Amino acid sequence: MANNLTGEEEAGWFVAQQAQPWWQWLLRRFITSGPVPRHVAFVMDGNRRFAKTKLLGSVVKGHEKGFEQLAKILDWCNRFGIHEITVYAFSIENFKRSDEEVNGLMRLAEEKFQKLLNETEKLDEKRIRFCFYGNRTLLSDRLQKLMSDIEKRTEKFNRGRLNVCMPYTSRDEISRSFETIRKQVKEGKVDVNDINESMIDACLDSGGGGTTPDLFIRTSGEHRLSDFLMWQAADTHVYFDDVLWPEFGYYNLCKAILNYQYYRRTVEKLVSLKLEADDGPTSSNKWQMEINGNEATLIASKS
Amino acid sequence: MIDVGWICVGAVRAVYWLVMLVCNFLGYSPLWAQIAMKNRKMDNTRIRIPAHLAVCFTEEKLIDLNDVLELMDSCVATGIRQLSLYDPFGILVAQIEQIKQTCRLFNRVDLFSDGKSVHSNGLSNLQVNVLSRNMGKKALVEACKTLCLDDDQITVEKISKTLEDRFHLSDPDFLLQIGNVPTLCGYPPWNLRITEFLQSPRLPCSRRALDSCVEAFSHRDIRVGK
Repeated sequence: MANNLTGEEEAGWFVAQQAQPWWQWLLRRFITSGPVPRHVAFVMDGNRRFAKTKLLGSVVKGHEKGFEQLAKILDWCNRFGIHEITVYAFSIENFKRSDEEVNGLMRLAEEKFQKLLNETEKLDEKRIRFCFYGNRTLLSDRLQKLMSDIEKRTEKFNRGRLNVCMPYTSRDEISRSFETIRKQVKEGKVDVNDINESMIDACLDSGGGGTTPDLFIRTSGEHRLSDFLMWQAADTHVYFDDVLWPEFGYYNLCKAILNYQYYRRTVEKLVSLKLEADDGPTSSNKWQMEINGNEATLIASKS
Repeated sequence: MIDVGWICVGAVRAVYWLVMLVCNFLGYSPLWAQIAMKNRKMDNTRIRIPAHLAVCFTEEKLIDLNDVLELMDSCVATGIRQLSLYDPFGILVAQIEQIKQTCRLFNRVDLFSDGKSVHSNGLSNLQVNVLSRNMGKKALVEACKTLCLDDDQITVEKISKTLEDRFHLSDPDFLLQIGNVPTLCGYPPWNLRITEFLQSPRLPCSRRALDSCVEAFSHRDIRVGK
């Protein structure tokens, strides 16, 4: 795929929709004959190790390679019919890294977000909605503005959804969700006894139309969640791959989806056990968050 | 004159060279090289004992009470201080009385069932918390209800403390996924922030099996964002 790209496309979010090599086409046809996950979450780990092992000179170069790989993977996922993708771009814990790396990453993010906004034709053609999860107040004003602009520009798009988590930790997301609920309780809009999983779901960053992931993929051989989507991925298929993120190729993605297909029914059975256990009086209430200007209101509906 | 001894040595050397060449070509290390590498690796790695070990059963058929009791003994012998046994099928919580009886007789263990103290020993070496599905997201919902009654802002620390105080839930250092199904089955999500996972086809209840898991844990590189 990489050698089919022009320099312009290689640095952007969308790669050219060219014909796939025959073996990729064959693999895709084989895999899509079975169930494909609708939502895949990625922990893009291994960019720094890639930069070190390939002697790229700077860890930021490794992150640039990681971004190029992300663009390719978005294209592959799109071809597989994966509707929603969530990527862990930057953790709140990553602020502990060297100033050089953090500043380099922020510069890279600004550059890529600006580029995305400039790709007007591609955005309209692909119709993918971009959402950002995380505590944006920790970022610069310019980055915050770019993120809001992207969200606003793509909010009506419905052909796919990309959630970029930056700067994010799951604990921070859950605690902000709790705080939103506490404020609603204090304002008398919600009763404490009505609090259930659905209400917490609605107040999370993913509450605005996001779904729970069907497949959680972590690269680079690390076997941990690292504070990513812990609430949403509590019952999800978790897949670990030993390759570094910039080396996560088409074959690795196929392996992950095949693994998902193999265990899908068993994982679904385990989730159905949970649903049977949850059959309580308050748990049947479904909640949605409605935002009018600066005011957020929780709306209940009986399931 | 040709020395027969030299011919034999030369032949052995040639065979050795050929074996190494083929192994290198195929990407395999010969068995003796693997053993030497493993020993060298172990010499360079300090064994880290996880203070808190969690076990998550992903297959119902693998839950066996005798194995669980043997694991408790192995944990005491290894120096593990806390053991969380998560069973989404609710089998272990249903058998808590039997576990309690055994703990009374043989193990110096503090036993909790879904966060409630069931048996306490003044001289305990190990705290065991048997967890069911109720300790997953439901425990977080309960923590949210409690914290919403406060007037102060809800923080990460407050949630951790509430879960610890009410349900005896804390972060495991190491989690063993028992079975082949690659999911966490709703294990209390809040506590898996930096937990290392290892999948095992069956419960490593013997001391030797548990030691090899601890060895695998010692090799893990924990960075916490850095």
